[in-house]
Amino acid sequence: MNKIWIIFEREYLQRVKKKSFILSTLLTPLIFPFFIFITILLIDSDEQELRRIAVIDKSNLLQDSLSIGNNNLFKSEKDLNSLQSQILDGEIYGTLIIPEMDIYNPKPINFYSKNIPSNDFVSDLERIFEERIRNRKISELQLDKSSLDKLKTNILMDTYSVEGSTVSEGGELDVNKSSSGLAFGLGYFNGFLIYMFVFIYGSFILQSVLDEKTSKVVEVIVSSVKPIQLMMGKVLGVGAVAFTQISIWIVLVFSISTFTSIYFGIDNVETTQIVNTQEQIDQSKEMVAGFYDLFSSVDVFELVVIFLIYFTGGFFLYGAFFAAIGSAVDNLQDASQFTLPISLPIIASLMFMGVILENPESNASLFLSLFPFTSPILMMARLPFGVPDWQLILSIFLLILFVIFSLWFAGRIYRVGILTTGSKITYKLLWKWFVIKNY
Amino acid sequence: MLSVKNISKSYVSHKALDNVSIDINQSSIFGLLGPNGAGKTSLIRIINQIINQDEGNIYLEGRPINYDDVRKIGYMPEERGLYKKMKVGDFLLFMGKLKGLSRNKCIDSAKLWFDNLEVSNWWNKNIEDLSKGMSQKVQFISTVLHNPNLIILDEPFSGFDPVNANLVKSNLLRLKEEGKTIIFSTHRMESVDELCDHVAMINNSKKILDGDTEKIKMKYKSDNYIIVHDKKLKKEDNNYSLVKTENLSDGIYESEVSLAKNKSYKQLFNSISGNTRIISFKEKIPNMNDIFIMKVKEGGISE
Repeated sequence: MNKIWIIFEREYLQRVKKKSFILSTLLTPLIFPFFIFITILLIDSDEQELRRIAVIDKSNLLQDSLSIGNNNLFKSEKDLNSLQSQILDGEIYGTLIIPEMDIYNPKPINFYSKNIPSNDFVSDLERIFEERIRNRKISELQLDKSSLDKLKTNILMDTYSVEGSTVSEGGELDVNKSSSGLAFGLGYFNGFLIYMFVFIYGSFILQSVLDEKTSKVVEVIVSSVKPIQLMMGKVLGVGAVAFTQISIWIVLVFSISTFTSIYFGIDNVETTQIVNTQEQIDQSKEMVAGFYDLFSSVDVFELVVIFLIYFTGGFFLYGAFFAAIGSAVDNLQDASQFTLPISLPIIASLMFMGVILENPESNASLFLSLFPFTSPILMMARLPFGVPDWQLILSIFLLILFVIFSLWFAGRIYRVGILTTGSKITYKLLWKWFVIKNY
Repeated sequence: MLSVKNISKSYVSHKALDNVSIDINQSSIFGLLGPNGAGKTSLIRIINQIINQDEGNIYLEGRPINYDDVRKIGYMPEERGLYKKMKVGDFLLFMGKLKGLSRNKCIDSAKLWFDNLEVSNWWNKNIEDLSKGMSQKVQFISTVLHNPNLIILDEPFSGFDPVNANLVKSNLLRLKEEGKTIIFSTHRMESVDELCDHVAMINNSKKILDGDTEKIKMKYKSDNYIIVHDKKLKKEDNNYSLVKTENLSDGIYESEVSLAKNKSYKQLFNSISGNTRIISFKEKIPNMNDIFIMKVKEGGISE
């Protein structure tokens, strides 16, 4: 045990002292806010410039000139051919042609520009002309606009989870508000984070084992340490590095988000200039409110603990296999043919994640979130939707069982592999290594 | 001190050792000789319990060797390796700790060995900045850092220039004087002649020769004599036959003669000194290199 500790200590300190580790640990949590910041800046600066758009309006939908956002639409009597040169010169942004049409059976309107316009632009213009046509219909059909407005209904469904609910003094059920959209996002985020870590740190283990093997240092070490101790120390060491990184990230993300929400306040969201219609502001306000609601509904502590369990379990499960592969091969190129089959369940987990998130209650979801090779990613994805305790416990139990199995399995290959160079590695040979009694 | 009894070992595809036994005395230098692929490294790895034998036992001071004994062995494998990204001091500390040394003992011992090997204090140097010879020295220091009683070196002189090889040799002889037991494997026979008290030769996974170095040499001498003289010798005599003659300089010849059966060297001396003045006269003792090549050829090179 003491020796595992010495191996662990070296592996851990060597890695956390590296500049690349310190930089990536401290900067990564800042990257997302940074990108958002940059995007806002870009959009902001984009808004400054006014875009003139010539409209050839044969259906007379546009009475006069019209400004939406930074787009200025004006009526033009010229034809497209003469406007084309103005578009190319940059004098005007584009030309919109509204053909003569029957408003009850409308034709597409056409937009000509040098560059492809953004989706928002297209949908904004579509919305405007839909409304124009609607208004014309209202007057032609002599409908009462105010009663029509009354027809408009907007129903929001709030979803609640009765999981962990309490009955308050007044006999009312005190339930947690849930949000399937945000559960979806949270599930996806958690699953993806584990996927990323298993891959990145798994390949660190592979690399580290391979380095020891190719630099020949391994033989000196195994004259003082049993191979299984060396492997365990190494897997634990790299695992602890991953654990350190994710812990720092969790702390950083929480403190950054707490800081920003206190400093800016939730209400300030509407001042960001991305949103420009009242409806969108409402939507984003709802989303942010919902997000905070959801966070208050999720037991953050429980989530973090379960996350760390699956994170550690998934890491060891796959890390052991990566260690075995690193010990068997002589160079990184040879490693790829063995890392592929090991990576398949991880990649498949990511692909299944969409399905699981759509149907968190299905049998397939249950199976995949219990099966240890997929459970670290897929149980984490399911978790925000609420998972019965027995499933969670069974899943963790199976995961631990498989972790022990995979470490044992990898250890048997590792003990032979690290001292064997120059042989062509096949699955058959690996199997022989695995079953050989005395090595 | 160390007894290897009837060790056999097979790998997945071939047999590496076949019923090999050797005995090694305390405070001696033991040479393990053999061509590439003969099984030397396998035997050394088995003694170090890096791999397990299929059959046979290893005894240390009369009792079966256990894992704690192995930790006390100072082992330098043929394939040298250091962690490139570490500092020399960190590496030595790491190796020392694995051998159960405390931090302070590690540092003291390393300083002592820096002096012994005539290197300045490399404690804070990066391993990747070391030259090949320098890293060989660090490797050697990491092997003897914990003052082991049994030192096992696989090809210890490869990678050293002659000056540093001699430095290591003199240190090995000093360690022997201090009562340490040293086993080393090599192809470099001149170092065997200089250092080894005892040798064993392995070829094709079998031990083919074992014994005291001087006795082996005596056993394999061929009753040939090297004579330096000033007049040409007769081709043949009833005392000898001439093997070869070389003209060293004007009127000085060196000849190798083979003693005829049932004749003594005195008769040879008298017979030759009758014709020519003898400047030097000595029996040709084979060196380990000759014996090595002879024995390997005898046994056939491993297939």
